[in-house]
Amino acid sequence: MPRPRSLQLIRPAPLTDPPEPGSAAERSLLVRAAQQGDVRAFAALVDAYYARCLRFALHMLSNRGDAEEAVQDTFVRVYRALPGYEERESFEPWLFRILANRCRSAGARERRRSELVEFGDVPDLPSERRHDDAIAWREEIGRALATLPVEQREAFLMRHVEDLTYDDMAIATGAGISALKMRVKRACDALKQLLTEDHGARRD
Amino acid sequence: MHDETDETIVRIAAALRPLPDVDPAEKARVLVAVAAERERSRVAGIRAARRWRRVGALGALAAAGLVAAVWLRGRDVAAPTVAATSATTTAVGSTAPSSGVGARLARDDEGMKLKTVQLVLRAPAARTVSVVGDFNGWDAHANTMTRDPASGLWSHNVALRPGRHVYAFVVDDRVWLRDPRSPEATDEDFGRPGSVLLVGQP
Amino acid sequence: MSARSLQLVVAIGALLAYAPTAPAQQVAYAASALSELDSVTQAAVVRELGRARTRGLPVQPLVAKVREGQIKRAAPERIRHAVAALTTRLDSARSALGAASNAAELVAGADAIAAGVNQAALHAVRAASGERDVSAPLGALAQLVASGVPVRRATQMIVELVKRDAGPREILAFGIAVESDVGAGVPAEESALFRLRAIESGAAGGATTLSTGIGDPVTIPTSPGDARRPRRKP
Repeated sequence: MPRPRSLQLIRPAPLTDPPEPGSAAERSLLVRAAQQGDVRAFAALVDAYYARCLRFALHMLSNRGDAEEAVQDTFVRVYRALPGYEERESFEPWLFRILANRCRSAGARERRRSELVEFGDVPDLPSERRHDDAIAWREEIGRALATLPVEQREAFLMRHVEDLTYDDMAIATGAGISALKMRVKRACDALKQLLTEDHGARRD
Repeated sequence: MHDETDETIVRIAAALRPLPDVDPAEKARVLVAVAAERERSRVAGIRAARRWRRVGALGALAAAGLVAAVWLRGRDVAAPTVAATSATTTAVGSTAPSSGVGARLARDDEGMKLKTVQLVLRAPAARTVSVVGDFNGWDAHANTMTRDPASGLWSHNVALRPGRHVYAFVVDDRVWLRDPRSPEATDEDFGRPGSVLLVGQP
Repeated sequence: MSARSLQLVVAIGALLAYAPTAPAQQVAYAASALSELDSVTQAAVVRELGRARTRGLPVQPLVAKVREGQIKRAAPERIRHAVAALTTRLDSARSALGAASNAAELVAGADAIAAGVNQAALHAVRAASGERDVSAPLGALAQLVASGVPVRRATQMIVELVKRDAGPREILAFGIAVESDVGAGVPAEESALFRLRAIESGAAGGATTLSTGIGDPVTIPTSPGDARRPRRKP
């Protein structure tokens, strides 16, 4: 008598016990559902990641319009690329890889666009003068970030703001881990230098 | 790594961490673009029969879906088939940007007689010069000046309503230049003063 | 559909809501101005347009202000601020000039306010003008004040001219003449008095315009000693 082949039972995930919101398990579920065409699952992914992507893009591009466009393009590309996405790679670094590329393209475009030059500086509006120290500090940081080379800025933000692991960063940038550590270190050194010597010098 | 615990770096990171505010409309734009993608692509057989009931943070799903639906509908309604109405501009002001300045514009949209004024600029090194101002909606492509080869002077005739106007030159699409021969118009809004032209009746 | 063209569609939709009878060209112009703003600023500006519309103020000058900010490469926050400030000035102009004022008059009024003219002065010009359009007198008034003539004095002069049935031509010519005198170094108030007297005594033409022979007269200050050197980028 031939041994009955064991049947694989495909059971739907238990509906009474959904995964924790925000957990990796939930994310996997969403991604898989989105891959199979579930638009609401994709919408949930957008919901979950939009703000973080925008945060990264804003710090990379410092121009809200460009940042928004980069993020929106990213999600559209994610959608297009979903069929080819394999779950071996975790979703986040994959997402950030696409986002980082979009930001790089936008940055290159911005540098090519001609700047309107004028003779002399544009004075500050009195009503806009910032008395809020916290805001002034953030602006200083923004300016300092903008002086960093793109790869260093990218690496710094991924490591210290987006909290990606170096393994994830390697996936997101295609660079090796030691190169990434070097970039982060250089970025930190530069930022420390810029931001500790300026601090205390009040801008009027 | 040392940097992780470095106080300055920690402070910098803390300042950069707060998430930006996101308008639901922004996210909806993504969904609409994606919906357009779906219309375009015909991926056979990959349609989820499954339905997800409750999956944690999908409370926002309903909102996202609703917003997406509203935007999709908005897209249809706002399709740019604007009927060209007659010159009854009620809420919209009458200082319409002049497209194609030339002999044609002896009168503006409301039938007001315009006066032709010649603007002149000495800028021998310039490649292109255009005039921007309140009369052409600050459009750098609406009134381009022409260079007289003999004198090297750039000039352009522009038809203006009588009254006070503010204008400036844009050289090579890069440089903002006040007309040095006209009085300065203060610019409290943006800090880039232009020049004033008082135009009399034709 | 790209994100950008979506933004354009949104902007058009918003504008149709706020200015349903606007000619197509104006809508297209306005939509393209709005669509270049990021969504936060765009939303804020569209709200301003809506508010202006509800109060019966002209929308086109606000859109032009956006465009002005864009060509001057101003930060979005400034653009938003400028649109709000203009709306306020248009509103003040309307309460001074009356709800029946046309858009050009309101814009001239707003410009005058920006130059330092107060509501009482606007009101006085309107009262003296009766049925006539006040944009020209207000334009001249704005320029007088900007040149340095004290508001009260400048208002008196313009009101005087209006009461004497001076048409827009003469009033603007007066303003032009004062402007060129100021450019030549004459103190503004002196020039204004001088030119006003000339008009009152019936002297022919207060304006000094040059005919360059190329075409139409150009309004250039007549003083040969126009020492204003254009600033050049080093």
